[in-house]
Amino acid sequence: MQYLARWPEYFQVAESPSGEIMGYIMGKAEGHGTNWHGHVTALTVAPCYRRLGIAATLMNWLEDVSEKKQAYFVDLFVRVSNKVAISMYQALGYIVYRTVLEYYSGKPDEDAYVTKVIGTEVRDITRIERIGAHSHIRGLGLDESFEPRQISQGMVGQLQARKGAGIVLAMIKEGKIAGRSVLLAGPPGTGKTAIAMGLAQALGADTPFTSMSGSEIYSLEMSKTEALTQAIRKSIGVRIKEESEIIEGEVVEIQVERPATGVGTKIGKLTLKSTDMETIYDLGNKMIEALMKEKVQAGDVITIDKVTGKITRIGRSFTRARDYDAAGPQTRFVQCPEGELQKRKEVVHTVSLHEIDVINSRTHGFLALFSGDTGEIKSEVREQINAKVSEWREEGKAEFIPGVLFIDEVHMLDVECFSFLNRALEDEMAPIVIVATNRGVTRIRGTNYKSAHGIPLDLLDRMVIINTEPYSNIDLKEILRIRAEEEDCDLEASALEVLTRIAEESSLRYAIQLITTANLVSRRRKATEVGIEDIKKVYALFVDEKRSMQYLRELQDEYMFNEAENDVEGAEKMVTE
Amino acid sequence: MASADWFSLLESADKIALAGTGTRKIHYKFADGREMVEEYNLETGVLTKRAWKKSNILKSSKWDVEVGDALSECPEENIGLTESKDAPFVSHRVTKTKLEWRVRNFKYSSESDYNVSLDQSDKCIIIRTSDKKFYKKIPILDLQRLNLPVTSNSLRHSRSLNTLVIQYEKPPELLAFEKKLATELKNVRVVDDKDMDCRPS
Repeated sequence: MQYLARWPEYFQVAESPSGEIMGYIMGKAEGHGTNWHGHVTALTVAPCYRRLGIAATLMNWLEDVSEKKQAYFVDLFVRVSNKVAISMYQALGYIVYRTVLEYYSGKPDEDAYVTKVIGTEVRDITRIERIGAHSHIRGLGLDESFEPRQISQGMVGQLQARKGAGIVLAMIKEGKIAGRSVLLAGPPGTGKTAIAMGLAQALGADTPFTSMSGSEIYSLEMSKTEALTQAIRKSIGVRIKEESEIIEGEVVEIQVERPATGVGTKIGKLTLKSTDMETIYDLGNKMIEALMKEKVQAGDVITIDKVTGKITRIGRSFTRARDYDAAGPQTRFVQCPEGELQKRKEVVHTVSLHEIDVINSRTHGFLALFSGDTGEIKSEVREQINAKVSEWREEGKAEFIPGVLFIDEVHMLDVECFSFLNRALEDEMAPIVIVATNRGVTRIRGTNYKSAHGIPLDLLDRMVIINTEPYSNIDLKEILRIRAEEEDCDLEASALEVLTRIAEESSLRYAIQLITTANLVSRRRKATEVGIEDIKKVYALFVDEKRSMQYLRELQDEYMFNEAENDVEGAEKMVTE
Repeated sequence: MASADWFSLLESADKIALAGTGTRKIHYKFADGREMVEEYNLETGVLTKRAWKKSNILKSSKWDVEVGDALSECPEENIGLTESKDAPFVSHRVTKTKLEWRVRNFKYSSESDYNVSLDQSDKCIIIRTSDKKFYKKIPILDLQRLNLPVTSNSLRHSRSLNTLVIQYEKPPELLAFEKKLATELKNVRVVDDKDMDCRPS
């Protein structure tokens, strides 16, 4: 009865024409991640209706249901002694996967575990995406009046800072004020980067958001100011209205052939259609990669810019609407385009100033070998482009979108960069610069002067400062819960409690590290949930920063190049800073 | 666009003529930044090629061929998407009395499989096939520019050797316009190779 309540869609009864029940099937869907699968709990066919293929029909029906639920496979248990049933499942394409001892209670009998893989489609590759440290953040978690909600869109606590960020967001959306700067300051692990990410998410895909780390500018390929200029220009978008030639159609088929050796150029064919015509295109390497990246599948309606090769997915064709499993929440269903595939269309696209720079500075011919995209761009090119874009703006062809440049670990910039930023912020085409640091009063890099946050006073003066505070106990618990959910890990209530304690005593980051490791340990002992013993185990295995320090202090004599006590003091000082 | 507009646009453009072997090329530079090149056969005075180029700093612009054979593309410049070589393609030619379009790789042999019609309002020729694999809307630019009406009895089409040939009889107004333009182009400054600014060392 419990099964019927939880998985009503997994029940089916086969009725004979006279209304008698010939057989039934019941099942469920379970598992995590790639282990998400359908399971056959019971399959019975009445003796007088056997050998009619009713069981096979019921099994196919259950596979269909599982397929629609995006299950990766279907499994079931069967007694080893039940030879008839095993041969039937094998005829249906199932394989004996492993044997489980004493599965059926009461009888010391063996059972074969039978499984079959279904749905080996593209989604196997596309559905598994890696999880980043801030992948759970979907916005700033504010309501319409910029009031922060306690827990929303992956953000927890830090109400004051989020409210401030919300006002900054409104300022950016307004788009009028350029060259403002915001400083996010706070101790490590208090969600500075999370707020910046939330801001980026809340701005949407159309506003350029560049995220960089302070130390990224120290490259041997280009000067510091060039790297900063590029970052600034990446954060300014230009929306251009233009008539361009595009190919618009519904994908009928994509074929990609890889060479047998695995290396070398790939070749492929793409068939596109409209309601009136159908054309086969030969694909080059670049286009194949672009199609893979956009995850284009048969049934999608796409446009391809004929000059830049940019692919845009418009949606899925209505004729494919029955392919229920492919529909995510964002899937739009559209009509198949009419007329010719090649069209001239007024398109609006957003490019960053940096992209325009690169396109126009690329040297042709063999010289391209020596200057990659990341090389330095001449200031003449930039000036020319600025003039051209301003001209377009006056003609009404283009529109500026000031975006956001986020520099994490801003104390890694040196005094030259700061003075450059000072000047760059005054430019009318400057983006909003958000910087984050976890330092207090410290030396400005490149000088011997000390200043708050390691930023010179004159620049600090231009900034609005948002402070983040250490999280409270309740917030920590909530963050850990969200992270556990994001990493597909079920925590027991008591385990969560222990983790919160650990987060409080050492650090939030360390506690988050323990989630993943404890999850692996719990899976090892075939548990569905992470319990206290798993956490204990990983807590013993992986030391946190405080215990590591303790350990070093005790055993420092045995390490190499160990100078004296003052080293430890220095390290301690660094931490307290 | 009335006929006067098109003529005055050509007249006002910055023009340069180049003498080739048996051909004469005229380069037009318009006030809006567009460029056009025409190539005339010296013997017959017929237009053999016309191509357009739009200036744009976002991307390197290419010549867009309106009349004559399309330029072959350099594979590196391509975005990695080319129509299959078996796909039908259209080229436009001009003869003394007719406008002509050739659809090559046109594999439909019987009349019932394809249909050529005229769209009066858009001044377009529309080719359709019954299996819905090929559809093409060809604008008759020469008539659009002079704002001349299209008449279906000037349209002929025939098919042989996998090629569909569509011909449209030039109306007298267009013939008169071409004559007027030819006299105008006679006094375009001819540039010789010697006049080049850049002297190769």
